[in-house]
Amino acid sequence: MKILDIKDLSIEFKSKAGMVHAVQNVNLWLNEGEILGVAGESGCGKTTTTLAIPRLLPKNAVITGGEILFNGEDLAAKSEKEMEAIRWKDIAVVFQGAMNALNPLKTIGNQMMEPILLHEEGVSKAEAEARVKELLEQVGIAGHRFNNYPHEFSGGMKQRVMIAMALVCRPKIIIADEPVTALDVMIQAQILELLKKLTKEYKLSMIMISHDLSVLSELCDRMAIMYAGRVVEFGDAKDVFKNPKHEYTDKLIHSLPDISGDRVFTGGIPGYPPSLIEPPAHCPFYDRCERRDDSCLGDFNFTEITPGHWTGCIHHR
Amino acid sequence: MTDNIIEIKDLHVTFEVRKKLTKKEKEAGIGNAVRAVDGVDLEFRRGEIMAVVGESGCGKTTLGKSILQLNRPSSGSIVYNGRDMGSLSKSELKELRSKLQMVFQDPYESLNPRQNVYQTLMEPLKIHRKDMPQEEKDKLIYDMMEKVGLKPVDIMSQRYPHHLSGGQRQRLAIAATMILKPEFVVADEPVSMLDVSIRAEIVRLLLDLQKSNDITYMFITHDLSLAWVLADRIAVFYLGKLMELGPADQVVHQSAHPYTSALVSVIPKVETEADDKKHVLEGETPSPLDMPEGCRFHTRCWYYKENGCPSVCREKQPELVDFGEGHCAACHFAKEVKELSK
Ligand SMILES: Nc1ncnc2c1ncn2[C@@H]1O[C@H](COP(=O)(O)OP(=O)(O)O)[C@@H](O)[C@H]1O
Ligand SMILES: Nc1ncnc2c1ncn2[C@@H]1O[C@H](COP(=O)(O)OP(=O)(O)O)[C@@H](O)[C@H]1O
Ligand code: SF4
Ligand SMILES: [Mg+2]
Ligand SMILES: [Mg+2]
Repeated sequence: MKILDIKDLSIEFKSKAGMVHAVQNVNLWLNEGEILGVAGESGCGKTTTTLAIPRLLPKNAVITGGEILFNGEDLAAKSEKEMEAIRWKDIAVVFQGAMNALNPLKTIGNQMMEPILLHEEGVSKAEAEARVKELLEQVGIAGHRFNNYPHEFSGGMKQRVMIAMALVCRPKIIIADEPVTALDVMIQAQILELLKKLTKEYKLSMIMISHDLSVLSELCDRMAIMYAGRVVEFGDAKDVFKNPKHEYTDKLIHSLPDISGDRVFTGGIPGYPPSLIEPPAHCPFYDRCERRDDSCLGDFNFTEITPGHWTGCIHHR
Repeated sequence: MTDNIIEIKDLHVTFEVRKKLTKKEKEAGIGNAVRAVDGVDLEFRRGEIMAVVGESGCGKTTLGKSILQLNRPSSGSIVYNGRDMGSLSKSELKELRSKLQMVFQDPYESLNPRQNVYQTLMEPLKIHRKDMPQEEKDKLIYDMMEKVGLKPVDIMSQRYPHHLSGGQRQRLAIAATMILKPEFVVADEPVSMLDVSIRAEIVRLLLDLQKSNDITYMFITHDLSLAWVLADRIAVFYLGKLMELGPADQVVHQSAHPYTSALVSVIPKVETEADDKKHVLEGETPSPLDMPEGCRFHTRCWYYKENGCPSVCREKQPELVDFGEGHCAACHFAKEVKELSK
């Protein structure tokens, strides 16, 4: 069942150089209890798309079209006040790089209790503390570290704290933005296992963002591949990895070294994405694509190729 | 005869950290000395790519800097082209600096923000190519910019580092490293701060430069699968010590050290098979101020835990077990582990 359904979402930023079309007619959904991976290179619109869901966008952002259906209600049409009731309690975010933004002057415990005390009326401090300590244990940190300060934690531990903090108001959906980027490989593996365990135990639905496709390959049920503000491919994760339909997805997957394959270095994808100030109406990957011909110059058309597997590439394979 | 460009023998690099120890810490045997590189033997064959792999803090950067004489070893020796670097005179060392270069993880570390691209590339020539005519220097600079893809050269040469993208900055840092035609380059996680889409192109650039200039690389990375595609040999480090060394394929597909096999097992795969066992190590690397006794890996070793915690692992530092063909591992149970990996 779809817990979240994003339809034709478009978001623009006001900037001196003009409107930045950061998200263009994006379609994707999240099924209850599933993990959706969102991949694509920096600047392609992953953060903007997903932060639109709890409406935590920067001030200069405008949602110019589309719907964000959560349990059938359009979040894009809700008032700020209505959204406040939804943030943390229904939809919580582990922000990109947030583990480095913990307040150095406050204990971990006090920072973790804040969302509860702010968003849940009638919860006492003692109850909040008990809940936070339990969650710390759940993410593999001894409860007595409640009174420690951020500098007493390693990077991996801080990320565990951020994940626990997203869970304090018992949300249904977690958005984890680059949760393992810049962590050591073994710590990455630990955090990925933790996220998998928590989604099961707390019956969470999760959107996980990464610029590195390989970290999503094992964990996700469904995948969205973004390029220059558009979702260019969406489908069952295994299906997307094994039968990529869009040339960009194909190139992205094959640029990852595969230790069960041949020991050859394939290299990257030469070129750059188009400007988002005047983005093309056709497939944004056109300039860098080896499959392209004049028929690619028609309007970008996101279609379902096989059941549940969508792409905007007309020369899909 | 193997032609080694560099031979490291029993190298130790220790940092004293100024930290007041509590009585409790003293009693627990915690010291003030970080043994960043703790007895390493390693040679580099001329023209090879040696990948150095391991988690942060295991001493990769320190090892690289020691080879470049940017760190003072506490003991041991580094021999370059047959000469002990510890015995060289100042002028000999200066000459040597142009032959041994380093590409840093964060290009900001090595780039001067007040110098534009042209000035950045001129700097090493001013120091090491004093007698070269100006025209020749200019030609060298513009050729190098073409090679690393900083184009169009007339516009890019006037740009300052803060006007360059992350990828372009790393291209500049690489150009500055390569302009003196070094023989040996330490590439210290040159792509880990870059977006995945840019990584492959920078790696491609480093490989192209290596081929055309016959460079020996020490390629530091924490990405074992990248090490496997790039390198001739892989050296795996843990807490300042070499755990495993060998041809890339053997280290990855026939790992003889439990640490290596754990690193291999956590490489994400799309298709997981039933017999794929992940060894996600618990906890984090212990502090180098409080090194475990015996095998320094035993506190996190899966083989140790799954095999009744043999006392030898706690009591005796393992020697390197040699499997021939240059494959060796420092584990009391290396043979057994290698069998399991096959
Ligand atoms: N506050 C902002 N003002 C103007 N442009 C922005 C702002 N935030 C993001 N952008 C632009 O929107 C695009 C998408 O950004 P983002 O969603 O952060 O991408 P990602 O998360 O995939 O790296 C980028 O081109 C970025 O430069
Ligand atoms: N200048 C220094 N002073 C004190 N300790 C240092 C210094 N440089 C490195 N170290 C320590 O030495 C160990 C190895 O560091 P490093 O070589 O940077 O590891 P890596 O590059 O593998 O991450 C770490 O514990 C680090 O904290
Ligand atoms: S010597 Fe023992 S503890 Fe060390 S790696 Fe081998 S099995 Fe593990
Ligand atoms: Mg982002
Ligand atoms: Mg380092």
